[in-house]
Amino acid sequence: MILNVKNISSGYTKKLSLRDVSFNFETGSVLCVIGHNGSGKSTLFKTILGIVKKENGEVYIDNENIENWNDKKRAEYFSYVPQNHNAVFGYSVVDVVVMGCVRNIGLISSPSKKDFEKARNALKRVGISYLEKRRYTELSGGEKKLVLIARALCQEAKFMIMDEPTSDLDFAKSQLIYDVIRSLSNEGYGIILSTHAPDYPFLDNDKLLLLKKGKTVAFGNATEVLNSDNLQKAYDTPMEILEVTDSKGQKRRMFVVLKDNDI
Amino acid sequence: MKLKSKSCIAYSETFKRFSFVMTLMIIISISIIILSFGMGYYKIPLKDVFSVIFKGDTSQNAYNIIMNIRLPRIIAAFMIGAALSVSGSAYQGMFKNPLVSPDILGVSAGAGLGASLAISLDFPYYYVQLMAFLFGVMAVFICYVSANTIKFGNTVSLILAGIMVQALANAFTTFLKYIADPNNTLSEITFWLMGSLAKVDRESLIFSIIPMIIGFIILFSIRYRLNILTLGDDEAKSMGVNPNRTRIIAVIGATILSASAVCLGGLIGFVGLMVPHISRFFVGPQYKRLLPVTALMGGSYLLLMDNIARSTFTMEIPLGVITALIGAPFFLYLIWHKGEAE
Repeated sequence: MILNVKNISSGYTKKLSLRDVSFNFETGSVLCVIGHNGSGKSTLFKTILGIVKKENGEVYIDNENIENWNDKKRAEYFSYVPQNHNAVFGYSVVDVVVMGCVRNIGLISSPSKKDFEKARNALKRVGISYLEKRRYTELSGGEKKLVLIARALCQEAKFMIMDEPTSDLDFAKSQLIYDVIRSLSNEGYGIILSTHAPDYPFLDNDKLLLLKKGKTVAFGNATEVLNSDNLQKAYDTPMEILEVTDSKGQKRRMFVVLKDNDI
Repeated sequence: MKLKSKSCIAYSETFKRFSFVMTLMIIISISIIILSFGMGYYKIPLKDVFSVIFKGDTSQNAYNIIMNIRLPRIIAAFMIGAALSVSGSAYQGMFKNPLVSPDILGVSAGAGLGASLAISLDFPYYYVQLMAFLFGVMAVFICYVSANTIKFGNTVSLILAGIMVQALANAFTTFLKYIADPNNTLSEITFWLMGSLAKVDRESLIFSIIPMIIGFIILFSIRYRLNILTLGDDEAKSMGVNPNRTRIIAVIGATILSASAVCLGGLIGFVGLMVPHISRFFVGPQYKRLLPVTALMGGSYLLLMDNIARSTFTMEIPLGVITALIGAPFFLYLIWHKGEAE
């Protein structure tokens, strides 16, 4: 399944926070969106999800324009893992996850046993079956994120959009999320995520979209696009890519900000 | 395999807990209803109550009191309590805000204004009902729109907007009272705004109960979607639910309920705030289980309060006074608790 985003512009106010962004992306891989705060990452996601109205451009799935799709149809193709989910009421974890099935549940019905089975499988898939009975509001940040990923899985959409999935997590928890993302993409999901993590573990066929003030700096295969020139352009700061090999023999790449010694 | 058996336990545990609470609430409700027949200025022994209700004994003096005075009032108290509580729990979900209720959002005050207007203009009873509903919807609308503009923290701005709507509605109501005919309309409006069930009769009961039942049916039908609304608009939309359309249905259902409660019993505060919290404590926030428990609990609670109102002193205490005496400290407790949690 191929997602084509062509020249989209959008924004909350008259001043557009996303201008003329295009990319194409296929299921079974990962698209990482990187850019400074306010570069339009979230706006891009919300535009694809139909939450923010777009001014210009088109979004196609397998060459079909999704312009006139309703919420239900859109939800068949895109699921969403929000950055902050402020739960007001303490639903149990399985109740939160089963909400992902809601598009197949009629206006006046409730989730069936089959839906709960689906939710439990999703929990098992991300490895948190043991949390099933807990209250969502009592979980830690990493656990909450995994529950939201399970909820997105329950939605059974081919593209999963994650807004900074590791923004408030420590290293170990972040790695756990990366592993889940990796295995989902191997399973055939298309994962679109944004991140600020300088050590995001890119693989060779990962895509990268660099944004700056709502405009595309570069788009392409991560290995080609992720270089110091592009990063410097995106962040307006001297930056460098470090390549190191860890003790297990794996090549690691991370980007750092260069700084003069005398400060 | 082990996992599967565990999850089955989880499911049956919640279900057991819910059926236990539900059974308990049914028993409590029935006992309070039966006991209420005997309470009041004219005490009727339980034995006579039973013989009137179950044997249809028409010979006694008690028959007249039970069937014509107490029965309508008991039904009214129970239905108003249930209606206010269910609509309160729905408002809390659809605005993802645990501190709102029909009275705090200004719906009750708005409905009160609509009804007062209809009474002043000497409209027939069903117009009173209709005006109360229309003004109630208007109040929610103003409240919601202005809360979105204030941007003062989600929880607080709704409450602030509610205060504004209430003040506005009360100002108009006061004006109506000022120009009302002091010989009949004024006392009618004043007494009714205090919140009292003393004047409930069969006609007003029937005119309010039908819309109430419609409101209950609407909210019970979309019970699952109410859960989705608590996630917020962006997430609801990304999951394939149109948040605005769902919220409009929910607002209509909840406002029909609170407006008919106001029409029948006047301004009775804090019930819609308190009861959903207590029932959520027992059965959790899942609306499928929350709504029936909330309805029974709200009904029993208000009936109990009405019994206190009419039997503590020789003179009747306005019902709104009693619910406020209990509800206001509860509201303070909630704010205190919430502040601590954050």
